[in-house]
Amino acid sequence: MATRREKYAQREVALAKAYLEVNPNDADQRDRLAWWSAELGDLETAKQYAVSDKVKQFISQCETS
Amino acid sequence: MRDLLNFTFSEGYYDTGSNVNVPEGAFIAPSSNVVFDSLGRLHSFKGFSAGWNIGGDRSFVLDKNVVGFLGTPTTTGIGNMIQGVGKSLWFVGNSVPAGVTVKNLQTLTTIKIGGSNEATLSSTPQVARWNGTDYDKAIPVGLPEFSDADTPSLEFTTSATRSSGFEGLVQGSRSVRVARKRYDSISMATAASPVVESSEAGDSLIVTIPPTPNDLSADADNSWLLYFTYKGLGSTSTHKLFPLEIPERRLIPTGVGTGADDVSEDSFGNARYKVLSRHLTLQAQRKVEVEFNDNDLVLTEPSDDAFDLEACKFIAKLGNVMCGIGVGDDSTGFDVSYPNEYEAFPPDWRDWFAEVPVAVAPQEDMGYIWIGSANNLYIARWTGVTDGSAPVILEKISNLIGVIGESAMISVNGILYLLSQGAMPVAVSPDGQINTQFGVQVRNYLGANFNSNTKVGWDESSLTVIFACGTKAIGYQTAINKWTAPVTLPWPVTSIFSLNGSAYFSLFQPDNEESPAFKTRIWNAGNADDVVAWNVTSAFQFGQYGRALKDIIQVEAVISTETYVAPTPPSTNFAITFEACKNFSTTSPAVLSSNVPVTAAGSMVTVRSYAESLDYDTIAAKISGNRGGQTVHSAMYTIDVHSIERVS
Repeated sequence: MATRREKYAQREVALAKAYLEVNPNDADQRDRLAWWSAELGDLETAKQYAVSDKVKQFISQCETS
Repeated sequence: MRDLLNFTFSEGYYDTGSNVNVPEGAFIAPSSNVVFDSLGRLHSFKGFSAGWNIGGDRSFVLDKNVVGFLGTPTTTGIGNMIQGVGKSLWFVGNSVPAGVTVKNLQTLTTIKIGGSNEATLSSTPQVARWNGTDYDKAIPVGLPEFSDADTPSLEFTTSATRSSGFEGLVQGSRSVRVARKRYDSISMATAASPVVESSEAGDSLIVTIPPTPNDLSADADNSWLLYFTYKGLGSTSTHKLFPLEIPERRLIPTGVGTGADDVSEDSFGNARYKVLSRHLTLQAQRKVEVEFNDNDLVLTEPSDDAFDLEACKFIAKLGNVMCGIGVGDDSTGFDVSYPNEYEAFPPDWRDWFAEVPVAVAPQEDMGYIWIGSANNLYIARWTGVTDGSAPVILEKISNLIGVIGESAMISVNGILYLLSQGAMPVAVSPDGQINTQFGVQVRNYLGANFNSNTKVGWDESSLTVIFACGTKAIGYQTAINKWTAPVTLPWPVTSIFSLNGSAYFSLFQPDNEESPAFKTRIWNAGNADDVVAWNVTSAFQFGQYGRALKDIIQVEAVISTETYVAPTPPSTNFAITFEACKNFSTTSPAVLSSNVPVTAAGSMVTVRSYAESLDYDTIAAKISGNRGGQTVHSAMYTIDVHSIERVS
């Protein structure tokens, strides 16, 4: 059973994808999708969408942890 | 023999389809496009104002002249939208990309949300903060709980490692919990840190702060709260609040990000903190040194049970809490936030509806919200009591009356008006008194034409509750207890909102030349975009004895018209036609006179004419026109009845 954190992350991913349907180049939404995908363990998607240094740093930490 | 009838339309519209039990002076089907003024005199529906090429499937007045819309011309939006504290924008609904827009109807401008003209509608409730000009990016309501990895570390300094300015006030075994604060909300606190014990008589503490997850909130909107146990209590006792908030921007490396701050320390009394190292994402690098005396700690415990708001159907503000309506796996739950923390929801309190809520009608100013489902009607009522409960309780008003659709109810000065599942108009007072009698005279019309797409709105200028569905509308005028005749709309209605004393209709034009589009128009305010052809047919009927008669009918009427600004030349249109209908057939009326000119307000027109009424059973009166704002003050029919012997 998913934790509340995981459920929250799933909602963030779904929202970010919905926003990106309208504007695929929205950097904030790409970062949002990347961050929460990384939290859910989907590092491939995370790396594909990450834009900012903060999110890229976070993904690197997830990879090494 | 002479019959005389003063026909003053005092009884309004009935749709019984027969004159049985219909009072004289009433008019009946197929009358259309007629409303009453405040004195009960009928006038033709003025039509809609010239308006705007905007609108939505749901519309909500948010602020002065500011209206929010849900839905797009291609995807229907459902759900709702409110203005919360600090003019923040809250919305929830179905999944519609670009399905949320906010317009200023005075300046005809779009108010941006996160720099875009639209936001995405979703079953995840979202909130967008007002920044003084427009809205920030919309983010989910409530903060995520912390993960295990966010548990802070805690260590004592020594006199050798303590920063200058710190005196070494902290003693004994301690633990810390950390909570994130984001303007309207506070997160669930982290787990308690491992217990540490000072090795010297007095030291300061070094705490690590978890990274802020990427939820699109601004760094400047985030800060951190620390909670410590008293001296010697380790983690076995409650944690109390350190009196200083630590802004997130002070934990971000200077020069990185828009919220970075080069200030690194602060103090309050004996409490003091200093940021030792900064990092965007590495908790181990986000170090803060703190010290305090136990009596500096505030007697506030961490909100360790603050949850975010789950997916729901509607949101509503009541008192100083936010309500989630239709939460949970079955969409039948009712959640209430902590007082004054509108994004923080306790996990140990949830009330339930018997079935999925269908519609919401807020009456926050009176302390309650109407909530309707398919077969039940509820009030969520403010109590203010928080001891072991939420300050809002659910009270079932009826288990016999449900609402026909999502927009099919409105609360007007405390009274709920709705269209029931059975297409009956219902009025309910907050003490549970239910009135279904006022709608009996129009039930045939509503039952035949109204469905789950029904919209119920309010026009303050005429004190009318409007029921609309598709291109049909009818109003109940509360001041004079009269129904209007059915009004024909130029396009199907998608939503109704009340603004500046008038009802505004959002309409959908499917055959727009460029593409399907919304239109917003003001009810009964102009002559644009529509056909205002109107007619009234009397409920009274002469005859009934099947006599072979030839009658002379005279009509004396007082009629007037408002000044009309043309889109089309008015010269051919300023006319009212009087007819007599044989055997109650409005399709083949006996014309008394037609095209009676009405050129000035207060005109009195007298018509005298034969009615071809041989072999009639009955004769009813019909009056019609094709322009908005024409008023019939009264009409008096005098009938000279002449018997003619037939030649067999």
